[in-house]
Amino acid sequence: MPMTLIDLQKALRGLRLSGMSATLEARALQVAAHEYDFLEAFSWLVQDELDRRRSRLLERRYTGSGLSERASLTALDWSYNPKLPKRDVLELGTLRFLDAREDVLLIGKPGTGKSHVAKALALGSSPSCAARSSSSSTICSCAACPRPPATNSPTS
Amino acid sequence: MSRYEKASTIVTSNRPIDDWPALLGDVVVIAPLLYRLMHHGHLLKFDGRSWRLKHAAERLARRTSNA
Repeated sequence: MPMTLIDLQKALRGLRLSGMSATLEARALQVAAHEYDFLEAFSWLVQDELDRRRSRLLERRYTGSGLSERASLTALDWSYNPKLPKRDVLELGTLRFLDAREDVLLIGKPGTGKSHVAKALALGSSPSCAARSSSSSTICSCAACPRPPATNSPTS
Repeated sequence: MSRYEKASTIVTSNRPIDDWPALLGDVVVIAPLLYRLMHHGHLLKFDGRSWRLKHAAERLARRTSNA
């Protein structure tokens, strides 16, 4: 005896598959309209679940990171300030310095994008470890400076 | 410096490093701190025009054109 759509959605949520549950109805309509066969629709459902999990994880890490904005390197207008060390910044954007446990010092005049870059790097590193970076106008690593939350222990 | 060689740290400052001892006081404390930061570090210098001034100028221009 097949379940009704509502029962199915309940069961999916019970299995903690809320991403599938949310799009089930829309995917069922696509199948009814012969847009997808069963396997195609099912693979989309799985993709929906994966997408939701990933975005929730990023959301949680962004919230936990304490960052004040979602900075990104792609949003930077390099043409406005051709003197910026674009190549070095993009190289840092690969986040290889994290694996090497290297530090980054961003020095320069106010308003030139230092904190923005620091935030973008911190956010970019969030899938592996959020809040690696703390930033303010002038900062040292003394006890008074912000520390990453204890839950975000460095990856070993 | 408990993160030294264990995790990466990003530091931003609008003062050149030469000014740090004067700003932070004790040279004896600052020198080893800097050495450790720079030991496995990337130093990037940001120069040029300010984004904040640009954004402020744009806001001002919008406001005057609206008025």
